[in-house]
Amino acid sequence: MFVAPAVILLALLVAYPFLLSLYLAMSDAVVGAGGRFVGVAQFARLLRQEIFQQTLRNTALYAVSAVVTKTALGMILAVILAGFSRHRLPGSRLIRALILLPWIVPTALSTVGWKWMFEPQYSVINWTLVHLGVIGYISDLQWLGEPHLARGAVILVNIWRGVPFFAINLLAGLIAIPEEFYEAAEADGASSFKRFWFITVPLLRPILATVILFSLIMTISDFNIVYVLTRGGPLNSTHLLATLSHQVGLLTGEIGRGAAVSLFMLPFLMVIVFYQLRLMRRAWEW
Amino acid sequence: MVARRRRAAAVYYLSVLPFVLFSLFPFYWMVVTSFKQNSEMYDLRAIPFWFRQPPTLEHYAFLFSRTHFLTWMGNNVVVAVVSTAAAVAISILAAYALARLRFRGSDALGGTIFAVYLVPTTLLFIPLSQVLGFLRLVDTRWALIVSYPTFLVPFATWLLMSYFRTIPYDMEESAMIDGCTRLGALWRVVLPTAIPGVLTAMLFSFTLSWNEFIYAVTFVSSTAQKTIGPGVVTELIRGDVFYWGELMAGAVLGSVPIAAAYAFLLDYYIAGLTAGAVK
Amino acid sequence: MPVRLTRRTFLKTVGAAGAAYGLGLAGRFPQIAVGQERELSVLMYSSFVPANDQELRRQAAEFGRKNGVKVTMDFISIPEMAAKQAAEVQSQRGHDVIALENLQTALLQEQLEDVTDICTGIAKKWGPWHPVASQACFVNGRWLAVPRNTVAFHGTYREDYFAQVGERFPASWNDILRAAKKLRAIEHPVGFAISSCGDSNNSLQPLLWAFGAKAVTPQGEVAIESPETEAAIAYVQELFPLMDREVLAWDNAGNNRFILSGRGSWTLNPVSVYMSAKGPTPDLAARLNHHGALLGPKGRFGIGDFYSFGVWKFARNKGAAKELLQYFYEEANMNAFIESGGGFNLPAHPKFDRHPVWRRDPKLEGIIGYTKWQRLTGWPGPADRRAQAMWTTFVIPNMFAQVVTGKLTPKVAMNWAARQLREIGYS
Repeated sequence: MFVAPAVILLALLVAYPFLLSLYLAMSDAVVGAGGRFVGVAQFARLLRQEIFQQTLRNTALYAVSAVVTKTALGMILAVILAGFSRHRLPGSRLIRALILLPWIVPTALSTVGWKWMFEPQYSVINWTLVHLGVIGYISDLQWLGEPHLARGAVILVNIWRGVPFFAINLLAGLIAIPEEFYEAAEADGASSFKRFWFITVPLLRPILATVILFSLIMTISDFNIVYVLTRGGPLNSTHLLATLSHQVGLLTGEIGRGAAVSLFMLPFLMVIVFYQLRLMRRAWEW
Repeated sequence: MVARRRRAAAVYYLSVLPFVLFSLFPFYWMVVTSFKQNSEMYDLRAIPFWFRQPPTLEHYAFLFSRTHFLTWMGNNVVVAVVSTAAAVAISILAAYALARLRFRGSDALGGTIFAVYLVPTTLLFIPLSQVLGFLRLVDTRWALIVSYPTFLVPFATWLLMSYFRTIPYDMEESAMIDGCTRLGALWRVVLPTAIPGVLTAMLFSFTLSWNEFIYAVTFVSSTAQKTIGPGVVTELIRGDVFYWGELMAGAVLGSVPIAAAYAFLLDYYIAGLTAGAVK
Repeated sequence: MPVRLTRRTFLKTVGAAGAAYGLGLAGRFPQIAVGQERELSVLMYSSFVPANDQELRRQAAEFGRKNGVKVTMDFISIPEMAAKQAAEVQSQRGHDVIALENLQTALLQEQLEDVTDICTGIAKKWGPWHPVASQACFVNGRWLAVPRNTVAFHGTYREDYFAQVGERFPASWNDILRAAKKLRAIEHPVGFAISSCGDSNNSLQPLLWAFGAKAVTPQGEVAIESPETEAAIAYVQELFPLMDREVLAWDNAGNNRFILSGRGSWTLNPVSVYMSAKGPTPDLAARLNHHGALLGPKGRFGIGDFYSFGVWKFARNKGAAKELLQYFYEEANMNAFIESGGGFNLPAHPKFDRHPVWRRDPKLEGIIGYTKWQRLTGWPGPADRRAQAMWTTFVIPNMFAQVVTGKLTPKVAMNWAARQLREIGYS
């Protein structure tokens, strides 16, 4: 009874659509005409397609590089912010709020801002680089036009948006570590690196793992950033599973195939959530 | 001693500076651009960082008078508030049950609710649009209000569950011995203690709601029902013309409410996370 | 037998009534209102020119008054139309009249009413439609939508820059290449998109056609690997270094910005560039001019985004819907619609080709009659989902992009494109 509302909601609006998407993915349904059951034909066809293989590679690259960078930068930032709070330095509240902005602001809107910053002719980044003498002409670096640069651009925006999330959550974890642990270690003569490695990291492990897994899920299924910046181009170099699914399912009207594309996220997400659940269970018994 | 502290402080401030600049620069850019005149924006000789011609309010004026921005803002608020309220209410109930009540399969159920995260919005949006179409909710705010809790509830439940576990059981026990129902105990005893956790859950849910994009862009196409994100992205780009000034103005205004909310409630947010997430 | 009004019955009835009232209020109950047949709703794209939308609203309201029908006109932006159509088809309810772009008529053919009587009636009155109109709307022997207008990809160029290098009104792709060399020298290059955007699809397809090349045959067989395609690729390879590298990153607005900044000297685009310049930078606008379809070795071809109106099979008021479409095509109304577009919308029927709006402003004379050169995207292949996939996955622009960036040689690129097309479903 207590759990009933949650269960009903999720059954109706998650479980059922999920099953529906499985059904769609095994059909050749298109917009405007129903489909017949085709088994795994859609999946097989996708795996043979270059654009899909490219998308899988893109998604893997995007997820791994973004999450690794966010972890590193988030950790560093969290340590700095923890220092602020430990030494009770003024302005820490303001700084935390400013740091958090990229994550709390609607991604669609901030990405539009980035789009203007990457704009081929008026890019402020290029303008700066020209005036620093790094490049010759303002349209030399086509951030959204050359595949490698475009990949870098979307990953950069993802990192920009995600670091605050890591930082704030890791900060919460750092604050929770009692000061006495460090004082005792310092009294015993441990260097700051040793203190970090033997006290901080193990205690932070549960929350670190949780945040990483969470972020992996959100990054693998990301849609906003690529949709607004490049729509998957140039040359399909930035297509993620979600954007490809949108393009195939809605823009081309092949709903069955679009559903099949999104379902490819499932195996990865299952592995991630499996580990996350195991971790949570362990954390509770802590 | 004082000098050492000063040096340590300086190190902290200096090392946080690049992060702050990196975080803030796009916003600075958005704000400045939103006040620039069109002729300056497209002037290749102008310095982008500051104004060459006097700043103008024309983009904001355009936003308010010639687009439905205020309607979108209103929709965003309504959708975010209602879906957050619904999601948190549902989550409180579910989290309490899972944290306190040992019934058969409660572990599995908890795991399942959280495993719903397995199914991201970008996987569900196509079939969900069909379900919502069947329920005749498509192209209304209700489509969003009804579908948003699906991704808010799992995380909120998890957060509140771990929060509730940190609250000692004796308070509820004594309340129930005194004649309270379980629901009454939850309402009168547990919730007041759990305010930081609830606040964190609400803030987090509100953020995710406010920022949601793919459902909003897929389920709603009528201008009057849109939220800010899709409204700005789809209607300030007419054909092949980007109304950059208005886009930036819309982006700025769309971010202000939520930034304000966090400015006030950030400490609670961290407190809630600290107690609930780490333990 | 009298019904015993127990408390429970009373409560149940009141409860049911209240629930029904509530649901009805929330609008989830099917409307069983009397007089349902006197309502009509239309879903249309919002035009680049707001005056267009207003004119359509006016005409719809007039129709409504004359026929005692309540007409609602909704406008949404072009990128959202696909999802909206999908949603209405899914729930089998929505508007009565639906706007359709390019291939959508063919894609949604099972959901559209037959409007052959309207279209053949117009043809009987005024003569045959432009070829692109039947390509878009005549599906499997029936007219499934009434063609309306096209937003065409003719050329926009800076007269003064061209004059500066001794060039005049460009009429062929060779003219462009020749002028491009000289224009590069004065740092006012030409440009069109070679990127993942609609403009790029619309720039490169007519080029292929003008060289006698095609992606697929009318029977749906892949035909991109050919000497004609090679010739087209060779042309673009020569032209690319004379353009700015940023054309690889352009979205649909890229070429507009290019011209409006004063740097660009030529691009392929509808008159939106000219129109958006007229207000803020009138002297730049004064130096712009337009030209029609360019001639290539094997002919003259054009393209544009083609728009029509269809009636859903599940429309609640099909009779009135068809009458409305007929009404829109009364001469005075069509003339008024074209007038309100300021020249942005070209007609689907030759009768309106020489509308005064293009003769009043000398700058617009170059595009008169452009529609007759137009072909539908994917031509000469059949209008179907594969053509749509070719469009949304940017096969043609990607083929050219990989050659000009040196990634693939022309032969390998053509082969790549052929593979893409086969993956899409062509044979």
